Amino acid sequence: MSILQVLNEYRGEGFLLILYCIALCYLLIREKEAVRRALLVYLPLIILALFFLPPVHALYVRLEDASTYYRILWLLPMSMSILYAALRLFEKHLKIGLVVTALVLVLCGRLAYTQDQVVRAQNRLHLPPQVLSVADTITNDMGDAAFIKAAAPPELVPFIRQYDTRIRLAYGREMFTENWNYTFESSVYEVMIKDEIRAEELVKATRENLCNYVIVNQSKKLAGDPKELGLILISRVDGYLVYRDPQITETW
Amino acid sequence: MRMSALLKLGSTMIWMLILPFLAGYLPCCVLPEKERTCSRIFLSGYLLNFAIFECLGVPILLLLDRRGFTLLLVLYVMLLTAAAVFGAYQLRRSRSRLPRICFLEGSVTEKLLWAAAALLFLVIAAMSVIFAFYDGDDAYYVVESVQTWQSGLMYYYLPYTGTNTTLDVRHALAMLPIWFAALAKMTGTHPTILIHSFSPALILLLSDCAFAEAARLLFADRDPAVRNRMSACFMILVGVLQLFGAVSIYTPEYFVVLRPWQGKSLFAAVLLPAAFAVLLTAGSLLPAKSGKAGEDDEKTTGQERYVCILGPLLILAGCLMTEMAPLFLTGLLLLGVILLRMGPGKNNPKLLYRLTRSFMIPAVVYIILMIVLLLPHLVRTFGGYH
Repeated sequence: MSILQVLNEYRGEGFLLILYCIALCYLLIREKEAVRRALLVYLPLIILALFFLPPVHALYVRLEDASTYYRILWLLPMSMSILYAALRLFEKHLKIGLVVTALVLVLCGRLAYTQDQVVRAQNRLHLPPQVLSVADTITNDMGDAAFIKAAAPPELVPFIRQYDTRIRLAYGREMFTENWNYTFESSVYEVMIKDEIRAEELVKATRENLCNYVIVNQSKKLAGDPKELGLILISRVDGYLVYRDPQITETW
Repeated sequence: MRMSALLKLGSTMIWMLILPFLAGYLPCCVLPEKERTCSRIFLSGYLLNFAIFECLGVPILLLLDRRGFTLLLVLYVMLLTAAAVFGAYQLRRSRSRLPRICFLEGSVTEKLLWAAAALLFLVIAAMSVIFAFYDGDDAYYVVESVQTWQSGLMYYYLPYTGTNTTLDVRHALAMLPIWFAALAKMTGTHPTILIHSFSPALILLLSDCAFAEAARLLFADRDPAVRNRMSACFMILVGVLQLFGAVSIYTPEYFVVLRPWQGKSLFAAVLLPAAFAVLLTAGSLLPAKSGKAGEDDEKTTGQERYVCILGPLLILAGCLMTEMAPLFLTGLLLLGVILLRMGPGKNNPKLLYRLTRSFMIPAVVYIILMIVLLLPHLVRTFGGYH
């Protein structure tokens, strides 16, 4: 990603970066007090110059991930400068200034809670409730078993271990995170993402991965019956079928 | 059931609010009493808290092969308590007994403005409880905390799957997930509840304390009433910006409102504004040095000591957050001090030397540690092998 692309992605949908540029120009012209001028004008200008220097970008990319280059922009006191400049501009009419600045910020910004991943919390853990039901089903069933390894559908994978890390997983989030430059393989994942899950393929993959629990999303088509292959259905919970594979327990 | 919930709430209040606040008197005791504001004490307490944990955690992690979580917890509790006891002693010794609380000062209008800022804080804090944000990175950070909390082993298992792994030094030195695990043990709460439901309000409060300090120092040359009014307006607008600042998924406002519990969010939303507050305090030292004597001298010496203490604490707290934070913070503080030194009529090379020395010591130690631990990785990176 080029430096300009980084800046453009940081700018996003609103106009806060433009507002900051205006504030910086205003302070460059009007701010005469030496300390504030040094910290709110010269310091950001030097950081911006460093940010745009290709050798700095090249060095950063070697040391760190290129996708985090935007963090250099965090060193700019953006919010501090915008707010200080606005209040300085409206110092004589503070109440009007407060209302006008607040309105400008609302119009130039974007409400945080409109992001796609924001949902209404259904428990204090802030995890999907199905995760809790499925994990509790497994841990209640495990008895004294020292080892649990589950094959879970991708939608549950990032959350199960946030609730209980005694449950190990056949594959993790690395399998389906975009923009990661690594190659991972998991036969369980390959079966789980298919539109129609074939029981025979699934059980073969979970046994290869030594999974003693298998979770299947009930909304998925399941060709064949895992019970006929030796799995025990221990529960149907919140739209998921939870199976135990006694063969794997014996192996352990 | 209700009794146990009350006990948990009580212990959460003690470990997350009261003890860090009292510990804040330790770095702030060098300041003159009227400079000890509530926000400054709370922020300093947390920076000390983070620095203590990092200084204890890294050697224990490396020397005891990731098995010393219980020892780390015991030592951390002892040191935090000792700092708080010392803080309480300082509080008892001080004439005013209570720190300055800006929003209790001034006219009715000023109090109303501060009340509006506090209301915005409460709205955002409440929203962080009402709404959940499903972020993929939690599968690493939150799981690391839960894993340590459940197993007592630090970075022993791969968070995504739970298989055994070697120590990933780059991520392991940033011990924030282990700090959350320790806090969960101390408060008797599941780490995921602590992280997702309780920590956002705390981090938002820390961020607001850093901004409030910066505002107080930015408007320091106005008369007290105007300064108080402008600081209150500033804090209202900070709240508005936090609510409407998520223009992209990269802004500090996006991080602090939606996923504040990750180290990078604390770095962007708390440590960086705090670094600017430290630089503004350093800036306030310079004109006075060449000016009046007497009370101002006492004030200046106190402020200088405070900056010399808080700078290294900030850098150590940065080590707890992300691997790049200490380098960014050291660079920012040094660049800021150099620019302040270059201002007209501010010839105090000794002050510059003292500040630079205090900022450089933790940064140099951290860089040496990183180079030693990451030598194979650095050889691969710069040797051209991939």
